[in-house]
Amino acid sequence: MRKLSIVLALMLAIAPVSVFAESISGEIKPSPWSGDWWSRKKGFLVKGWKGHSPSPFEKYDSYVKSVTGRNPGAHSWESNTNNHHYNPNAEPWEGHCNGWSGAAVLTKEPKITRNRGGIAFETADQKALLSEQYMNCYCNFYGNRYWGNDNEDMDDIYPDEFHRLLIDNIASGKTAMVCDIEADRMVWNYPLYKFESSWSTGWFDDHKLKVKTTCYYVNDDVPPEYLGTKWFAVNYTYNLYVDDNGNVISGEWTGDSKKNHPDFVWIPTGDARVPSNSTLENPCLDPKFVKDICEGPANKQNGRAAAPSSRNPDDLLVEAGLDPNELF
Amino acid sequence: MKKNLIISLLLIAIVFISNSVYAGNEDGFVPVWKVGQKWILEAAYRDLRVEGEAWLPAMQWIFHVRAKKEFNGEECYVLHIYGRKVSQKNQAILWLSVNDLRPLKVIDVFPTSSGMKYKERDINNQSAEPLVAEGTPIPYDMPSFPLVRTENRAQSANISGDKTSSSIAKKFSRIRSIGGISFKRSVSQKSKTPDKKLSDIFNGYLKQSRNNEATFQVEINEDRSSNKVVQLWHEGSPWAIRENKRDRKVRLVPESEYVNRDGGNN
Repeated sequence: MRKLSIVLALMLAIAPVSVFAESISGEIKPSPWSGDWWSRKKGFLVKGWKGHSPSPFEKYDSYVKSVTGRNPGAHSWESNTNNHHYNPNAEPWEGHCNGWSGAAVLTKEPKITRNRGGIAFETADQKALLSEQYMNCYCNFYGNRYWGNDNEDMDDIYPDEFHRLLIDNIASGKTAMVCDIEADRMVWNYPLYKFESSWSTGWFDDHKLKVKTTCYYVNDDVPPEYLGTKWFAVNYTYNLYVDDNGNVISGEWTGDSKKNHPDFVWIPTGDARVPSNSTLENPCLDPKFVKDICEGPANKQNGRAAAPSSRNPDDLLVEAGLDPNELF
Repeated sequence: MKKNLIISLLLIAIVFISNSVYAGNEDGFVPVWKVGQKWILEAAYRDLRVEGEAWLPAMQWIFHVRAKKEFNGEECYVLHIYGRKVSQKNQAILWLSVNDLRPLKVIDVFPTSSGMKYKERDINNQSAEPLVAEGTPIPYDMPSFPLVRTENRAQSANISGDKTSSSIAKKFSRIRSIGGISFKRSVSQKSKTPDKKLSDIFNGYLKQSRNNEATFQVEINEDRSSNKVVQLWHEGSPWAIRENKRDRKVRLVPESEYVNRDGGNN
C-alpha cells in the first residue's frame, strides 16, 4: 500500500500538466430535413412509386402548363437517359444526394400538401422538386475531393480544419454543413447538423489534445413521404496539436478515423442557375414555379408564379436583426 | 587607397540615395474612397464537388461605401456589400480603417432555412493581416496595405511586365478564437510586379490610368488550407481588378459595363 502511494505521488509529481478534459457541442435548429435521395436507377422523379402517381415531374409540367399554356418539358428532360438523371442501368448509388443535401440545409421542410391549380403536390413531390433545383448550388468548399490518384493526401480534410468548421458553423448556430462522409473516391453527401466533442491532454504531452467527436448526420434512407429528421451518428477520433500558447496549429486522424473520416465539407449558400451545357440539373425546372409550389398557403386556385421580389438590400439586414440606421 | 576611399564613399552615397527614394514611397498605396462610392465585382464560381472544370454562373456584387464612422477610436469606412440580384441574399458589412483599410469589424449576413441571420467575425483589429473572405461567397479578400512599389519603373502601369522584379513578403500569425478555442494559421503575403502573363489584364484599364500609377500582383497564402489568393491591384482602381482563387475568378467590372449602377433589384 505504501509502495503504491509512493508510485502515485511520483507520477503526480513528474506529470508536466495534469490531465484535464474539455468539451463542446452544438446543434442547428431547425435541423435539415430527411428525404429520399432520388436514385437514378429507380427513377421515382419521373415514374412515381407505389401509391404515388402521377410522378412529381408530371405534376410539375401539368401545373406550369396550366399557368403558362406551355409544357416546360421537365418530365421529358429528366426521363431522357442521355441526361443521366434517370437510367435503369445506373450504378445503385447514383442519385440526387447533393441536391437533397443543399435543399435540406437551405429550405424549410415542406410539411403540408399544397394544391396548385387543382393539382395536389404532396410533401414528397415538393421535396423531389427542391432536391432537383438544388443540384446546382453555390457553396463554400473545404478540403479537397479525393479522386484516387497517388499524389493525393487521404488525410485531407485535416481534423484541425474539420474541428474548426464544427465550432465555427454548428456550435455557433450559424449553419449546418454537408460532408462527403467517405474518405475514398465514392461520394456520399449528408448534412451534418449536430456534434458532441470532448478532449483531454496526455500525461506527458500537453501539446497534444486527444479528441473524440460524435457527428450527427441527416439520413436520406427514408421513404419519400417521410417527415422530420432521421439521423445517424459517426464517431471520429483525432489528435489536435497546440503551441505553447494553446493555439491549435495542426492535427492528425487516429484509430479507425485514419481511413474513416470526411473527405470534404461544403456549405451551401444559395441556389444557382443551370450553367449552359450542364446536365447536372434539369434546366426545364423554373425556381419561381418551384417556390410557388413549395411555399405559401395550402390552396391556390389561380396559379401564378410569384413575381420577382423588389426588396431593398437593407430589408434583408432588418430580417437578419440588424438596424441599417445604426450601421450606416 | 584614396581611390578605394572614394569608391566606398560613392557606394555609401548610392545606398543612401536609394534608401531615401524607397523611404519616400514607403507609405505606399492604400485605396482612398468617398462616401457614396460604388463599384461592382463579378465572381464566377467553380464547383469543386464535381469532376473537371465545372463553373457556375457568375454573380455580381455591389460594393457601396455607405458611411465614414468612428470605431474603437479609429475613423473607418463602412463598406456594405450585397448582391446585384435580390436572389443573392448573402451580404457583408466591413469596417475598414481609413488609414490602411485594416479590418476592424466584419459582419457576414447569410440566408438559412429559417430566414436571414448574421455573424460577426473574430477579427484581430490590432494586426494588419490580410482579410480572407471565408465562409461567404462574397469576394472581399483584401491584402495588408499599404502596397509598396518594389521597383518604381518596373511597376509603372504601362510596362509590359517582362522585366525582372523583386517582391515584398510579409508574414502574419492569424489567431482566431472560436467558441473558446483558438486556431493559429500562418498567413503570408507577397507583392510584386505583375507576371508577364498577367500584364495584359491591365490593358483594359490603362486608358483611364496615368503612367505613374503602380500595379501590384499580390499573393496571399494560408498554411493548412487551399486558400491561395492572387490579386492584381492598380492604384487608379477602388478594388483589385482581378482575383483568382481555386474556387473563384473575380473581376472588377469597368464602369462602362454598368447597366444599372444602383443594382440590388435587377
